[in-house]
Amino acid sequence: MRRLLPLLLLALLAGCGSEQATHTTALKRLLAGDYAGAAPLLTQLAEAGQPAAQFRLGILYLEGKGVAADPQRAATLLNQAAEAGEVGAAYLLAQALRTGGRLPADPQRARQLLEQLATRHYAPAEWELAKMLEKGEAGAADPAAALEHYRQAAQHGYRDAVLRLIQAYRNAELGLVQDTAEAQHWQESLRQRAF
Amino acid sequence: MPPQPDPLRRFWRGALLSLPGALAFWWFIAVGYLGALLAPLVGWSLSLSVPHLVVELVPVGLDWTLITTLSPIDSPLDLLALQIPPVRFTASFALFWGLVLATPIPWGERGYQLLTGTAFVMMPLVVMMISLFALFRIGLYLNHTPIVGQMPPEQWYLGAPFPGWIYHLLGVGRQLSALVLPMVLPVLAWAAFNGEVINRVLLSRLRQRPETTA
Repeated sequence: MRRLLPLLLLALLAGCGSEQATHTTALKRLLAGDYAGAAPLLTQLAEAGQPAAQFRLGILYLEGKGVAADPQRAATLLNQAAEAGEVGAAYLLAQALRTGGRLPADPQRARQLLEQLATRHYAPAEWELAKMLEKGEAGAADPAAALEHYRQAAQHGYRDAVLRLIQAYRNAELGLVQDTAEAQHWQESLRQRAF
Repeated sequence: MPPQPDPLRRFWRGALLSLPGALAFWWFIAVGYLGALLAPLVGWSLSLSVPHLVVELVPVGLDWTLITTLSPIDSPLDLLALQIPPVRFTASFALFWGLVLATPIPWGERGYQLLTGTAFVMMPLVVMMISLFALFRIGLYLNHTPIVGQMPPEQWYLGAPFPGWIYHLLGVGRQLSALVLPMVLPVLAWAAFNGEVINRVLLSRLRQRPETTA
């Protein structure tokens, strides 16, 4: 067994290296617009459980590029990648489920995905979640929670969230009282950050 | 027997000739070759440190293009390509070569220091500097927060931001790699090779000076 251990380690390293090389080739093909050439490589990696490949392949199936459009397969792949922590998959799946264009609308699942992304301080997700909470898209409207997520998105550099906060403080929205000083503070942060 | 010239004077005179010469050699001859040698090493270093974020590093003339796995939020099949300017970092080689050539040591020793210093000291250090710079550029696109006077782009990308403390470390790394290390590391590398000469030529003169004035 002791003799086999180095060989097993080498095989494992070689396996990782070849997987990485296949992924790189697939991404280069995507970059060149060769979606049909990238799809088989991504399929091979996705079946091996690689979240980044599941994400890209999910997009190909969602948009019907290089493969026949298959929303069901796209949703499965994006869900798998999102569960494995792939930010892009979780965000795009949440967007698709929220609006219900290419996939059947599922605001509850969209909200769940956005909440997971918000814990990782991903500002675009914090912004979308705040909008859902403000409009009450997946349950009752919750202006206080929406305000908190707008604030977090603004702190993480999301320009539209800063603009929404300025508007809310000026017009006493989201349960706030009118506060021109706070609106001015956010206006100043907008100027300093040169968004 | 003619008197031996003062080694410190020899060093300054040598530096006046060798530093511009080394700079000219670097700019007119070596800069392209250094870029071609360094690109695969920096690509390898980045693929070791952030394998999930880097596709490849492509030299394009004197500049490099770093292709990342980051996709813009509104076109998820595209990939972000970043420009990396290696020239400002490879200027460190010229400073090192100039200092070694100016040092009052036998020519054989100079040749040894030039070869081993370039290959085994300066190369890894410059790879580290360029990698730090590239990592910071990636961080700026992911974290989207202004830092060390650098502004993030308008476009958002699909990727988890680095934890705050790592982002700040990347900011420090960028400042060091772009502003401090290109000037300091060649001097330190030269000093590491020539500690005895520095002690004999420079420091001994400084120690003597107060006695002379008294």
